[in-house]
Amino acid sequence: MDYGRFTAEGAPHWQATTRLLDRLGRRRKGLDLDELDALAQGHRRVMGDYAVARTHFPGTAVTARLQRLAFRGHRALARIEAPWTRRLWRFLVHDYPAIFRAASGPLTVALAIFCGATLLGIVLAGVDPGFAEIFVGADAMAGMRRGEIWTDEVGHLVPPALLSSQIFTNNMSVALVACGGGALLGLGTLYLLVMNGVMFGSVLSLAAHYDLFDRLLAWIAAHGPLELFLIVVASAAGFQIAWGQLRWANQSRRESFAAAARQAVRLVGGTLPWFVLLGLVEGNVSPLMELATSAKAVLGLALLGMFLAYTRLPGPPPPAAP
Amino acid sequence: MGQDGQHGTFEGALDVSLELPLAHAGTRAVAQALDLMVVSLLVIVISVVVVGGAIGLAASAVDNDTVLALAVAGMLIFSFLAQWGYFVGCEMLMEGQSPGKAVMGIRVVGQDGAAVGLLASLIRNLLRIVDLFPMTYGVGLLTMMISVRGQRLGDLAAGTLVVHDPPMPRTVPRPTHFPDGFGVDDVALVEDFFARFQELMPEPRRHLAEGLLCWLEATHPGFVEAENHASIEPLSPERRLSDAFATVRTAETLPSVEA
Repeated sequence: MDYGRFTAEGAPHWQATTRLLDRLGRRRKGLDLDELDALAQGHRRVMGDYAVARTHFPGTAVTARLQRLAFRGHRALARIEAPWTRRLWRFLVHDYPAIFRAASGPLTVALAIFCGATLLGIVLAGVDPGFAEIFVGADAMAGMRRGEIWTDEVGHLVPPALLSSQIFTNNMSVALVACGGGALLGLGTLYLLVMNGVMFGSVLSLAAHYDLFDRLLAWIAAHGPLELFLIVVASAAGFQIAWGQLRWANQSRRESFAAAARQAVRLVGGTLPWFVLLGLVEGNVSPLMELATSAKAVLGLALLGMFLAYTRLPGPPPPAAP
Repeated sequence: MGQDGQHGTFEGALDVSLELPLAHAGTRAVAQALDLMVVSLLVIVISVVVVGGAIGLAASAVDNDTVLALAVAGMLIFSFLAQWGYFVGCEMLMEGQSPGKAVMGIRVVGQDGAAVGLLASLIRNLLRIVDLFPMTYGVGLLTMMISVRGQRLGDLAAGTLVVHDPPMPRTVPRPTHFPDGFGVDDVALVEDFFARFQELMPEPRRHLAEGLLCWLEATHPGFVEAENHASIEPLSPERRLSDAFATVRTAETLPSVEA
């Protein structure tokens, strides 16, 4: 086989395929159906030519470049996904509620651990209020002894926009770490969930000890119920990953881990928009001391109810009959 | 998908397999370091621009506290996105690469060789926090050493691989004309010489060119024009080779070689 003739005959086809791939880009909007068909045919030709070049002209520039072109075409054509906006809509409206419901096992475990840790925090800080200093810090502790709670200051000193963004970015980070930490056989998630539970419980206990419970409640009533629940959901996602690592009955450990990670990331991903909403509530509503705690509690429970109602939405529609 | 510890093999169209070398831990570490530099630089630049702009605006605004608060809030959100979204965003926009990976010529792909999808990218980058644990990529390096395909924990969870996919070579002289009876190895040798043409120092380049000329004169007499000693300015060996092989400078994906 002649190298020059092979290259001369193939080059126009390869260059045409390259041009189509350039136009295809990531969005897959650059080509019409005929051009896509031409691309598929061009790619098959490239693959065939690559096989020939690999056999007859190993080590040559044409073989190296055909390999690159073949790989590029393979990457582009092996998986064509719908536009991300359509996929996001489908995920939020149809997939997420079903994913949430399917995670009832790890959710129950995470909720039980969080409640247990909260109880532990209440007891520990109840026995020794100084224990809570680990979490709230010496200054806040001193303030509470004087009958002041830091939440009053936060609401007055920090502008709502800043407070909101600080809170929702921090909460999202906590949720993502709680989920990812599950890949340490669940230990990362467990540590984070227990620490959050003990901290929450000890702060509740401390506030009650210094007769500041009503002011703490006034702060957390609007955003607390859903925020804490979403952290539990994120932790459940972490436990899902750990479960996939530890239990692989009908598949390889690798497959089980990967399948669990896919579910877990989707489970925590659906909580993220709610953290933004909660950040806005915490930055704008929670600091309003003139708003009755009962009204805030109604809002807090309504938000939790909205999320739970959302998770009851029906699953994805069945595929259309051929 | 096959593997031999060094290569990722993907089944393509017409049952032709594509084999690409897997990226080594060192290459990946350098790419990561470059990306961290890019992220840090981005955050610093945006911070300076946003805070500078906000201070300028606040000076003329009635409610300057609100302007500054909004600026800091914007920076916080940007930092969060940079921390959690940089790699995902880059891998989606750059087909499995980030600036650091592009410089190092490596790319993230699915186990079937397809472009990395959004979910897979989210998974592999979310689990980066575990790969980082306990210190600089402790878990990540350990899993890469244990894994047959050199995957860190995030790659195992996402079903992704990192392969070498160097950028297309920049414009280089390419030979377009070969003597009759030139073998494949001979073609590869000449192409390699011209591909490295610009990287070689002048002295070794001339030395190699002279060697090639001697070899060509012995094996394919008459293919290279004889040196004209009568000329005031005789052609260099490189130039004589270039003329003989009719090189063209091209950045085309594939050279158009004369039959």
